[in-house]
Amino acid sequence: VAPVTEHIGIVPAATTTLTEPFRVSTQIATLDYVSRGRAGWHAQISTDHSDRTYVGPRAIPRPDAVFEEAADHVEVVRRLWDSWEDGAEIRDRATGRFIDRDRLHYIDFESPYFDVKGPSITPRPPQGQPIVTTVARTGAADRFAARSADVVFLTPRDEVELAQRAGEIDDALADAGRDPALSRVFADVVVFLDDHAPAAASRKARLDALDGAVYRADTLMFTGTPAQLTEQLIAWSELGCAGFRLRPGAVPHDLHAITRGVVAELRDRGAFRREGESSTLRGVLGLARPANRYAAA
Amino acid sequence: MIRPPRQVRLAAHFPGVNNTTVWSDPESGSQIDFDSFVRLAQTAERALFDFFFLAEGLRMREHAGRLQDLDVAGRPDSFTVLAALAAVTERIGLAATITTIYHEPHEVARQLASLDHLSGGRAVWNLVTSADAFTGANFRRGAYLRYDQRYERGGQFVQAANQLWDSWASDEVLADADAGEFVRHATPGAFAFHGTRVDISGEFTVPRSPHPPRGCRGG
Repeated sequence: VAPVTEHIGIVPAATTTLTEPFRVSTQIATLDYVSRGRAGWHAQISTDHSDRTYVGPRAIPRPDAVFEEAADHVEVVRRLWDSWEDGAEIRDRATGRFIDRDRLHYIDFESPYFDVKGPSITPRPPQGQPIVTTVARTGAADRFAARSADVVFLTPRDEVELAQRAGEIDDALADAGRDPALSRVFADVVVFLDDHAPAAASRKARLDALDGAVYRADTLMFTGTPAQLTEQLIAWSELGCAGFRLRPGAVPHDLHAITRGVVAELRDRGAFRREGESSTLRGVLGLARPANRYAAA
Repeated sequence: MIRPPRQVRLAAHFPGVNNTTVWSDPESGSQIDFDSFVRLAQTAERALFDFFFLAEGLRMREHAGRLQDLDVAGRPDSFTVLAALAAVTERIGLAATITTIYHEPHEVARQLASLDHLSGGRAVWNLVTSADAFTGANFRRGAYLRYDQRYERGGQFVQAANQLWDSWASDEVLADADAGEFVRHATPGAFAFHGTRVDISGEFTVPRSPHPPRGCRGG
Protein backbone atom coordinates (compact mmCIF):
# COMPACT_ATOMS: atom_id res chain seq x y z
CA VAL A 1 0.00 0.00 0.00
CA ALA A 2 3.01 2.35 0.29
CA PRO A 3 3.11 3.46 -3.39
CA VAL A 4 -0.58 4.38 -3.40
CA THR A 5 -0.54 6.47 -0.17
CA GLU A 6 1.40 9.59 0.78
CA HIS A 7 1.07 10.54 4.44
CA ILE A 8 -0.19 7.68 6.57
CA GLY A 9 2.16 5.53 8.64
CA ILE A 10 2.29 1.82 7.76
CA VAL A 11 2.82 -0.52 10.70
CA PRO A 12 2.74 -4.28 10.03
CA ALA A 13 2.70 -6.72 12.95
CA ALA A 14 5.34 -9.42 13.28
CA THR A 15 5.89 -11.75 16.20
CA THR A 16 9.20 -11.66 18.01
CA THR A 17 8.80 -15.23 19.17
CA LEU A 18 8.82 -16.91 15.78
CA THR A 19 10.74 -14.60 13.46
CA GLU A 20 14.38 -13.85 12.72
CA PRO A 21 15.40 -10.33 13.81
CA PHE A 22 17.60 -10.04 10.72
CA ARG A 23 14.58 -10.52 8.45
CA VAL A 24 12.29 -8.23 10.44
CA SER A 25 14.99 -5.55 10.46
CA THR A 26 15.57 -5.61 6.70
CA GLN A 27 11.86 -5.90 5.89
CA ILE A 28 10.86 -2.91 8.01
CA ALA A 29 13.88 -0.92 6.76
CA THR A 30 12.78 -1.69 3.19
CA LEU A 31 9.21 -0.64 3.96
CA ASP A 32 10.70 2.61 5.25
CA TYR A 33 12.48 3.11 1.90
CA VAL A 34 9.40 2.17 -0.12
CA SER A 35 7.15 4.50 1.92
CA ARG A 36 9.77 7.27 2.21
CA GLY A 37 9.91 7.26 5.99
CA ARG A 38 6.47 6.05 7.06
CA ALA A 39 7.29 2.56 8.38
CA GLY A 40 6.75 1.10 11.81
CA TRP A 41 6.79 -2.39 13.30
CA HIS A 42 4.17 -3.72 15.72
CA ALA A 43 6.14 -6.17 17.86
CA GLN A 44 3.85 -8.99 18.96
CA ILE A 45 4.82 -11.55 21.56
CA SER A 46 3.36 -15.05 21.40
CA THR A 47 2.62 -15.52 25.07
CA ASP A 48 0.19 -18.40 24.83
CA HIS A 49 2.42 -20.64 22.70
CA SER A 50 -0.52 -21.58 20.49
CA ASP A 51 1.51 -20.79 17.39
CA ARG A 52 4.77 -22.42 18.44
CA THR A 53 4.14 -25.30 16.02
CA TYR A 54 4.38 -22.88 13.07
CA VAL A 55 8.16 -23.12 13.14
CA GLY A 56 10.40 -26.05 13.62
CA PRO A 57 12.17 -28.10 14.44
CA ARG A 58 13.23 -25.39 16.90
CA ALA A 59 13.19 -24.74 20.63
CA ILE A 60 10.84 -21.97 21.75
CA PRO A 61 11.57 -20.07 24.97
CA ARG A 62 9.52 -20.94 28.04
CA PRO A 63 6.44 -18.75 28.49
CA ASP A 64 8.12 -16.76 31.26
CA ALA A 65 11.07 -15.96 28.99
CA VAL A 66 9.26 -14.69 25.88
CA PHE A 67 9.44 -11.05 26.92
CA GLU A 68 13.15 -11.33 27.64
CA GLU A 69 13.58 -12.84 24.19
CA ALA A 70 11.37 -10.11 22.69
CA ALA A 71 13.56 -7.38 24.21
CA ASP A 72 16.66 -9.03 22.72
CA HIS A 73 14.86 -9.33 19.36
CA VAL A 74 14.04 -5.61 19.24
CA GLU A 75 17.58 -4.76 20.36
CA VAL A 76 19.00 -6.78 17.44
CA VAL A 77 16.58 -5.14 14.99
CA ARG A 78 17.47 -1.65 16.25
CA ARG A 79 21.22 -2.30 16.17
CA LEU A 80 20.93 -3.57 12.59
CA TRP A 81 19.07 -0.37 11.59
CA ASP A 82 22.04 1.59 12.96
CA SER A 83 24.71 -0.74 11.56
CA TRP A 84 25.14 1.51 8.52
CA GLU A 85 25.87 5.10 9.46
CA ASP A 86 24.18 7.80 7.42
CA GLY A 87 26.46 8.62 4.54
CA ALA A 88 28.28 5.26 4.62
CA GLU A 89 27.68 5.02 0.88
CA ILE A 90 30.40 7.37 -0.41
CA ARG A 91 30.79 6.45 -4.12
CA ASP A 92 34.31 7.85 -4.00
CA ARG A 93 35.67 7.69 -7.52
CA ALA A 94 39.17 8.78 -6.52
CA THR A 95 39.74 5.71 -4.33
CA GLY A 96 37.27 3.41 -6.09
CA ARG A 97 35.35 2.80 -2.87
CA PHE A 98 31.55 2.48 -2.94
CA ILE A 99 31.18 2.39 0.84
CA ASP A 100 33.28 3.66 3.72
CA ARG A 101 33.63 0.45 5.70
CA ASP A 102 34.60 2.38 8.81
CA ARG A 103 31.02 3.62 8.87
CA LEU A 104 29.57 0.10 8.80
CA HIS A 105 29.43 -1.81 12.07
CA TYR A 106 29.25 -5.40 13.22
CA ILE A 107 26.58 -5.57 15.89
CA ASP A 108 28.02 -8.73 17.52
CA PHE A 109 24.88 -9.41 19.55
CA GLU A 110 25.06 -12.49 21.74
CA SER A 111 22.43 -13.68 24.20
CA PRO A 112 20.78 -16.97 25.13
CA TYR A 113 18.31 -16.32 22.30
CA PHE A 114 20.25 -14.76 19.45
CA ASP A 115 23.76 -14.60 18.02
CA VAL A 116 23.72 -12.05 15.24
CA LYS A 117 26.85 -10.70 13.59
CA GLY A 118 25.70 -7.94 11.22
CA PRO A 119 26.02 -5.49 9.66
CA SER A 120 22.66 -5.29 7.92
CA ILE A 121 22.42 -5.83 4.16
CA THR A 122 20.12 -2.78 4.02
CA PRO A 123 21.46 0.75 4.55
CA ARG A 124 20.09 2.82 7.47
CA PRO A 125 16.42 3.52 6.69
CA PRO A 126 15.12 7.07 6.05
CA GLN A 127 13.77 7.51 9.60
CA GLY A 128 16.98 6.14 11.10
CA GLN A 129 14.92 4.09 13.51
CA PRO A 130 11.42 3.21 12.24
CA ILE A 131 8.73 3.33 14.92
CA VAL A 132 8.31 0.24 17.15
CA THR A 133 4.88 -0.31 18.70
CA THR A 134 3.51 -2.95 21.08
CA VAL A 135 0.51 -3.73 23.28
CA ALA A 136 1.06 -3.77 27.05
CA ARG A 137 -1.34 -5.71 29.30
CA THR A 138 0.89 -7.03 32.09
CA GLY A 139 3.86 -6.02 34.19
CA ALA A 140 6.27 -8.00 32.00
CA ALA A 141 4.76 -6.38 28.90
CA ASP A 142 5.06 -2.93 30.53
CA ARG A 143 8.77 -3.47 31.14
CA PHE A 144 9.27 -4.67 27.55
CA ALA A 145 7.27 -1.73 26.17
CA ALA A 146 9.17 0.77 28.29
CA ARG A 147 12.52 -0.57 27.19
CA SER A 148 11.81 -1.32 23.54
CA ALA A 149 8.81 0.53 22.08
CA ASP A 150 8.14 4.05 20.82
CA VAL A 151 4.36 3.64 20.90
CA VAL A 152 2.52 1.62 23.57
CA PHE A 153 -1.08 0.50 23.05
CA LEU A 154 -3.12 0.09 26.25
CA THR A 155 -6.37 -1.81 26.65
CA PRO A 156 -8.04 -0.30 29.75
CA ARG A 157 -11.65 -1.26 30.53
CA ASP A 158 -12.62 2.13 31.93
CA GLU A 159 -11.20 5.58 32.47
CA VAL A 160 -9.98 4.84 35.98
CA GLU A 161 -7.91 2.00 34.59
CA LEU A 162 -6.75 4.21 31.69
CA ALA A 163 -5.30 6.79 34.07
CA GLN A 164 -3.77 4.06 36.24
CA ARG A 165 -2.20 2.19 33.31
CA ALA A 166 -0.81 5.40 31.78
CA GLY A 167 0.83 6.11 35.14
CA GLU A 168 2.27 2.60 35.30
CA ILE A 169 3.80 3.02 31.82
CA ASP A 170 5.39 6.29 33.00
CA ASP A 171 6.83 4.43 36.00
CA ALA A 172 8.15 1.63 33.79
CA LEU A 173 9.77 4.19 31.48
CA ALA A 174 11.46 5.81 34.48
CA ASP A 175 12.68 2.40 35.70
CA ALA A 176 14.08 1.69 32.22
CA GLY A 177 15.84 5.03 32.15
CA ARG A 178 13.83 6.16 29.12
CA ASP A 179 12.74 9.76 28.61
CA PRO A 180 8.90 9.77 28.71
CA ALA A 181 8.98 12.50 26.05
CA LEU A 182 10.22 9.88 23.58
CA SER A 183 7.28 7.54 24.11
CA ARG A 184 3.64 7.79 23.03
CA VAL A 185 0.76 6.00 24.76
CA PHE A 186 -2.33 5.10 22.71
CA ALA A 187 -5.54 3.59 24.09
CA ASP A 188 -7.60 1.06 22.15
CA VAL A 189 -11.31 1.89 21.84
CA VAL A 190 -13.98 -0.28 20.19
CA VAL A 191 -16.65 2.02 18.74
CA PHE A 192 -20.27 1.58 17.62
CA LEU A 193 -21.45 4.86 16.10
CA ASP A 194 -24.63 6.32 14.68
CA ASP A 195 -26.10 9.80 14.15
CA HIS A 196 -28.45 9.16 17.08
CA ALA A 197 -27.25 7.46 20.23
CA PRO A 198 -30.21 5.06 20.53
CA ALA A 199 -29.58 3.90 16.95
CA ALA A 200 -26.00 3.01 17.82
CA ALA A 201 -27.14 1.12 20.92
CA SER A 202 -29.79 -0.81 19.06
CA ARG A 203 -27.37 -1.67 16.27
CA LYS A 204 -24.98 -3.14 18.81
CA ALA A 205 -27.90 -4.98 20.45
CA ARG A 206 -28.86 -6.45 17.06
CA LEU A 207 -25.25 -7.67 16.49
CA ASP A 208 -25.24 -9.17 20.01
CA ALA A 209 -28.50 -10.98 19.23
CA LEU A 210 -27.06 -12.35 15.98
CA ASP A 211 -24.01 -13.58 17.85
CA GLY A 212 -26.09 -14.97 20.72
CA ALA A 213 -23.97 -13.21 23.33
CA VAL A 214 -23.32 -9.70 24.57
CA TYR A 215 -20.07 -8.49 23.01
CA ARG A 216 -17.59 -7.32 25.59
CA ALA A 217 -14.36 -5.82 24.30
CA ASP A 218 -10.99 -6.40 25.96
CA THR A 219 -10.65 -2.63 26.15
CA LEU A 220 -12.62 0.64 26.28
CA MET A 221 -15.88 0.46 24.39
CA PHE A 222 -18.02 3.34 23.18
CA THR A 223 -21.55 3.34 21.83
CA GLY A 224 -23.07 6.67 20.73
CA THR A 225 -22.72 9.51 18.24
CA PRO A 226 -19.51 10.79 16.64
CA ALA A 227 -19.92 14.06 18.56
CA GLN A 228 -20.22 12.21 21.89
CA LEU A 229 -17.19 10.07 21.08
CA THR A 230 -15.23 13.19 20.23
CA GLU A 231 -15.98 14.73 23.64
CA GLN A 232 -15.05 11.45 25.28
CA LEU A 233 -11.73 11.14 23.40
CA ILE A 234 -10.76 14.69 24.35
CA ALA A 235 -11.58 13.92 28.00
CA TRP A 236 -9.68 10.63 27.93
CA SER A 237 -6.65 12.28 26.32
CA GLU A 238 -6.31 14.38 29.51
CA LEU A 239 -5.64 11.15 31.42
CA GLY A 240 -2.20 10.51 29.96
CA CYS A 241 -2.62 9.08 26.49
CA ALA A 242 -1.44 10.81 23.34
CA GLY A 243 -3.87 9.12 21.00
CA PHE A 244 -6.32 6.34 20.30
CA ARG A 245 -6.48 3.25 18.17
CA LEU A 246 -10.14 3.16 17.17
CA ARG A 247 -11.45 -0.29 16.35
CA PRO A 248 -14.67 -0.08 14.30
CA GLY A 249 -17.31 -2.38 15.82
CA ALA A 250 -18.62 -3.20 12.35
CA VAL A 251 -16.98 -2.53 9.00
CA PRO A 252 -17.65 -0.51 6.89
CA HIS A 253 -20.39 1.30 8.89
CA ASP A 254 -18.33 2.36 11.90
CA LEU A 255 -15.23 3.01 9.81
CA HIS A 256 -17.15 5.55 7.72
CA ALA A 257 -18.56 7.09 10.90
CA ILE A 258 -14.98 7.59 12.13
CA THR A 259 -13.50 9.00 8.91
CA ARG A 260 -16.51 11.22 8.11
CA GLY A 261 -17.98 11.99 11.53
CA VAL A 262 -15.39 11.79 14.28
CA VAL A 263 -12.54 13.35 12.30
CA ALA A 264 -14.74 16.35 11.34
CA GLU A 265 -15.90 16.78 14.95
CA LEU A 266 -12.32 16.69 16.25
CA ARG A 267 -11.29 19.28 13.65
CA ASP A 268 -14.21 21.54 14.59
CA ARG A 269 -12.83 21.53 18.12
CA GLY A 270 -9.28 22.20 16.92
CA ALA A 271 -8.14 18.80 18.25
CA PHE A 272 -7.00 17.16 15.01
CA ARG A 273 -4.79 18.27 12.12
CA ARG A 274 -6.27 19.41 8.83
CA GLU A 275 -3.34 18.49 6.64
CA GLY A 276 -0.26 16.30 6.82
CA GLU A 277 2.25 18.08 9.05
CA SER A 278 5.14 15.78 8.32
CA SER A 279 6.03 13.29 5.64
CA THR A 280 7.46 10.73 8.08
CA LEU A 281 5.80 8.65 10.79
CA ARG A 282 8.31 9.87 13.37
CA GLY A 283 7.50 13.43 12.36
CA VAL A 284 3.74 12.88 12.67
CA LEU A 285 4.28 11.49 16.18
CA GLY A 286 6.52 14.42 17.10
CA LEU A 287 9.58 12.21 17.54
CA ALA A 288 12.92 13.43 16.17
CA ARG A 289 15.17 11.31 13.95
CA PRO A 290 17.54 9.70 16.47
CA ALA A 291 21.32 9.84 16.34
CA ASN A 292 23.08 6.65 15.30
CA ARG A 293 24.37 4.69 18.30
CA TYR A 294 27.52 3.73 16.38
CA ALA A 295 28.40 7.15 14.98
CA ALA A 296 31.31 8.94 16.62
CA ALA A 297 29.99 11.92 18.54
CA MET B 1 8.46 -23.18 -46.06
CA ILE B 2 9.95 -20.71 -43.61
CA ARG B 3 9.54 -21.81 -40.04
CA PRO B 4 8.74 -18.99 -37.59
CA PRO B 5 11.51 -18.55 -34.99
CA ARG B 6 11.09 -20.10 -31.60
CA GLN B 7 9.59 -17.66 -29.14
CA VAL B 8 12.16 -16.38 -26.66
CA ARG B 9 11.35 -15.46 -23.07
CA LEU B 10 12.99 -12.50 -21.31
CA ALA B 11 13.41 -11.69 -17.64
CA ALA B 12 14.88 -8.52 -16.11
CA HIS B 13 17.41 -8.82 -13.28
CA PHE B 14 17.85 -5.76 -11.06
CA PRO B 15 21.54 -4.81 -11.36
CA GLY B 16 22.32 -3.92 -7.79
CA VAL B 17 24.60 -5.54 -5.28
CA ASN B 18 27.55 -7.71 -6.36
CA ASN B 19 27.06 -7.07 -10.03
CA THR B 20 29.73 -5.51 -12.18
CA THR B 21 27.79 -2.29 -11.97
CA VAL B 22 29.65 0.79 -13.12
CA TRP B 23 28.63 2.82 -10.12
CA SER B 24 31.08 5.61 -10.85
CA ASP B 25 29.13 6.52 -14.00
CA PRO B 26 27.26 9.76 -13.25
CA GLU B 27 24.18 8.18 -14.83
CA SER B 28 24.15 5.21 -12.45
CA GLY B 29 21.11 5.45 -10.18
CA SER B 30 20.49 4.45 -6.59
CA GLN B 31 20.67 0.74 -5.72
CA ILE B 32 18.27 1.20 -2.79
CA ASP B 33 15.72 3.96 -3.56
CA PHE B 34 12.35 2.52 -4.48
CA ASP B 35 12.19 4.73 -7.60
CA SER B 36 15.00 2.67 -9.16
CA PHE B 37 12.97 -0.52 -8.79
CA VAL B 38 9.82 1.11 -10.14
CA ARG B 39 11.66 2.43 -13.20
CA LEU B 40 13.20 -0.91 -14.13
CA ALA B 41 10.08 -2.98 -13.45
CA GLN B 42 7.84 -0.64 -15.44
CA THR B 43 10.34 -0.49 -18.32
CA ALA B 44 10.55 -4.30 -18.43
CA GLU B 45 6.77 -4.53 -18.28
CA ARG B 46 6.37 -2.11 -21.21
CA ALA B 47 8.73 -4.34 -23.20
CA LEU B 48 6.54 -7.38 -22.34
CA PHE B 49 9.21 -9.20 -20.31
CA ASP B 50 8.06 -12.33 -18.44
CA PHE B 51 9.32 -11.36 -15.01
CA PHE B 52 11.34 -8.97 -12.84
CA PHE B 53 13.92 -10.74 -10.71
CA LEU B 54 15.56 -9.94 -7.37
CA ALA B 55 18.56 -11.84 -6.02
CA GLU B 56 19.14 -12.50 -2.33
CA GLY B 57 22.20 -11.90 -0.16
CA LEU B 58 21.93 -12.16 3.59
CA ARG B 59 25.41 -11.13 4.68
CA MET B 60 27.64 -8.26 3.62
CA ARG B 61 30.54 -9.64 1.61
CA GLU B 62 34.04 -9.62 3.06
CA HIS B 63 37.51 -9.83 1.60
CA ALA B 64 40.47 -10.89 3.74
CA GLY B 65 38.42 -10.49 6.91
CA ARG B 66 37.21 -6.96 6.15
CA LEU B 67 34.02 -5.69 4.57
CA GLN B 68 34.31 -5.48 0.80
CA ASP B 69 34.15 -1.77 0.00
CA LEU B 70 34.68 -1.56 -3.76
CA ASP B 71 31.42 -3.05 -5.07
CA VAL B 72 27.85 -1.86 -4.89
CA ALA B 73 26.43 -2.84 -1.49
CA GLY B 74 23.17 -2.31 0.37
CA ARG B 75 20.01 -4.03 -0.83
CA PRO B 76 16.38 -4.06 0.24
CA ASP B 77 14.25 -7.04 1.28
CA SER B 78 12.80 -8.66 -1.84
CA PHE B 79 9.25 -9.39 -0.58
CA THR B 80 8.73 -5.83 0.58
CA VAL B 81 9.92 -4.33 -2.71
CA LEU B 82 7.94 -6.79 -4.84
CA ALA B 83 4.74 -6.27 -2.79
CA ALA B 84 5.05 -2.53 -3.43
CA LEU B 85 5.86 -3.08 -7.13
CA ALA B 86 2.64 -5.12 -7.41
CA ALA B 87 0.76 -1.84 -6.86
CA VAL B 88 2.51 0.01 -9.70
CA THR B 89 2.71 -2.77 -12.33
CA GLU B 90 -0.01 -4.85 -13.98
CA ARG B 91 1.32 -7.82 -15.89
CA ILE B 92 4.98 -8.59 -15.18
CA GLY B 93 5.94 -11.54 -12.98
CA LEU B 94 7.60 -10.67 -9.65
CA ALA B 95 10.39 -13.07 -8.72
CA ALA B 96 12.07 -13.33 -5.33
CA THR B 97 15.11 -15.46 -4.58
CA ILE B 98 14.54 -17.15 -1.23
CA THR B 99 16.87 -19.64 0.39
CA THR B 100 15.33 -22.62 2.15
CA ILE B 101 17.99 -22.57 4.82
CA TYR B 102 17.64 -19.39 6.86
CA HIS B 103 13.92 -18.77 6.46
CA GLU B 104 10.89 -20.53 7.91
CA PRO B 105 8.61 -22.33 5.41
CA HIS B 106 5.41 -21.06 7.04
CA GLU B 107 6.60 -17.45 6.89
CA VAL B 108 7.86 -17.76 3.29
CA ALA B 109 4.67 -19.51 2.16
CA ARG B 110 2.57 -16.75 3.73
CA GLN B 111 4.58 -13.99 2.15
CA LEU B 112 4.63 -15.60 -1.31
CA ALA B 113 0.88 -16.31 -1.14
CA SER B 114 0.29 -12.70 -0.06
CA LEU B 115 2.45 -11.43 -2.93
CA ASP B 116 0.45 -13.64 -5.29
CA HIS B 117 -2.82 -12.13 -4.00
CA LEU B 118 -1.51 -8.55 -4.15
CA SER B 119 -0.21 -8.99 -7.69
CA GLY B 120 -3.15 -10.97 -9.04
CA GLY B 121 -1.17 -14.18 -9.55
CA ARG B 122 2.28 -12.87 -10.54
CA ALA B 123 4.51 -14.23 -7.73
CA VAL B 124 7.58 -16.29 -8.70
CA TRP B 125 9.89 -18.08 -6.29
CA ASN B 126 13.52 -18.63 -7.25
CA LEU B 127 14.38 -21.47 -4.95
CA VAL B 128 17.95 -21.78 -3.67
CA THR B 129 19.57 -23.84 -0.94
CA SER B 130 22.90 -22.07 -0.58
CA ALA B 131 24.07 -22.44 3.00
CA ASP B 132 27.21 -21.53 4.80
CA ALA B 133 28.27 -20.67 8.30
CA PHE B 134 29.27 -17.16 7.16
CA THR B 135 25.68 -16.19 6.31
CA GLY B 136 24.37 -18.24 9.22
CA ALA B 137 26.06 -15.84 11.63
CA ASN B 138 23.16 -13.45 11.03
CA PHE B 139 20.47 -16.01 11.97
CA ARG B 140 19.44 -17.86 15.05
CA ARG B 141 19.40 -21.16 13.21
CA GLY B 142 23.02 -20.33 12.61
CA ALA B 143 24.23 -23.78 11.72
CA TYR B 144 25.96 -24.97 8.61
CA LEU B 145 24.22 -27.85 6.90
CA ARG B 146 26.13 -30.53 5.00
CA TYR B 147 25.37 -30.82 1.27
CA ASP B 148 22.97 -33.76 1.68
CA GLN B 149 21.26 -32.10 4.68
CA ARG B 150 20.78 -28.89 2.71
CA TYR B 151 18.86 -30.66 -0.03
CA GLU B 152 16.91 -32.65 2.52
CA ARG B 153 15.80 -29.38 4.12
CA GLY B 154 15.19 -27.78 0.71
CA GLY B 155 12.99 -30.66 -0.40
CA GLN B 156 10.95 -30.68 2.80
CA PHE B 157 10.68 -26.88 2.72
CA VAL B 158 9.10 -27.01 -0.76
CA GLN B 159 6.78 -29.90 0.16
CA ALA B 160 5.63 -27.99 3.23
CA ALA B 161 5.10 -24.77 1.23
CA ASN B 162 3.04 -26.67 -1.37
CA GLN B 163 0.94 -28.24 1.37
CA LEU B 164 0.26 -24.78 2.86
CA TRP B 165 -0.73 -23.32 -0.52
CA ASP B 166 -3.07 -26.26 -1.11
CA SER B 167 -4.57 -26.09 2.39
CA TRP B 168 -7.43 -23.83 1.29
CA ALA B 169 -9.71 -25.32 -1.38
CA SER B 170 -10.34 -22.91 -4.25
CA ASP B 171 -14.03 -22.77 -3.27
CA GLU B 172 -13.41 -22.48 0.49
CA VAL B 173 -14.63 -18.89 0.83
CA LEU B 174 -18.43 -18.82 0.67
CA ALA B 175 -19.06 -15.30 2.04
CA ASP B 176 -22.75 -16.25 2.22
CA ALA B 177 -24.40 -13.47 4.24
CA ASP B 178 -27.87 -15.09 4.18
CA ALA B 179 -26.61 -18.35 5.64
CA GLY B 180 -24.16 -16.50 7.91
CA GLU B 181 -21.30 -18.61 6.64
CA PHE B 182 -18.00 -17.18 5.52
CA VAL B 183 -15.96 -20.33 4.97
CA ARG B 184 -16.93 -23.89 4.11
CA HIS B 185 -15.02 -25.66 6.87
CA ALA B 186 -14.63 -24.95 10.59
CA THR B 187 -10.82 -24.80 10.34
CA PRO B 188 -9.74 -23.97 6.80
CA GLY B 189 -6.02 -24.12 6.21
CA ALA B 190 -5.28 -26.92 8.68
CA PHE B 191 -1.82 -28.31 7.94
CA ALA B 192 0.73 -30.70 9.39
CA PHE B 193 4.13 -31.53 7.94
CA HIS B 194 6.42 -33.71 10.02
CA GLY B 195 9.88 -34.11 8.52
CA THR B 196 13.42 -34.35 9.85
CA ARG B 197 14.32 -30.78 8.76
CA VAL B 198 10.88 -29.18 8.70
CA ASP B 199 8.32 -30.01 11.40
CA ILE B 200 5.32 -27.69 11.50
CA SER B 201 1.56 -27.77 12.03
CA GLY B 202 -1.27 -25.31 12.53
CA GLU B 203 -3.73 -23.35 10.42
CA PHE B 204 -2.64 -21.41 7.33
CA THR B 205 -4.42 -18.06 7.35
CA VAL B 206 -4.01 -17.02 3.70
CA PRO B 207 -6.78 -18.19 1.35
CA ARG B 208 -5.67 -19.94 -1.83
CA SER B 209 -3.94 -17.45 -4.13
CA PRO B 210 -4.58 -17.09 -7.87
CA HIS B 211 -1.51 -19.03 -9.04
CA PRO B 212 0.45 -20.46 -6.11
CA PRO B 213 4.13 -20.08 -7.06
CA ARG B 214 5.71 -23.48 -7.58
CA GLY B 215 9.27 -22.20 -7.82
CA CYS B 216 12.01 -22.17 -10.37
CA ARG B 217 15.24 -23.63 -9.09
CA GLY B 218 18.51 -21.79 -8.75
CA GLY B 219 21.77 -22.91 -7.16
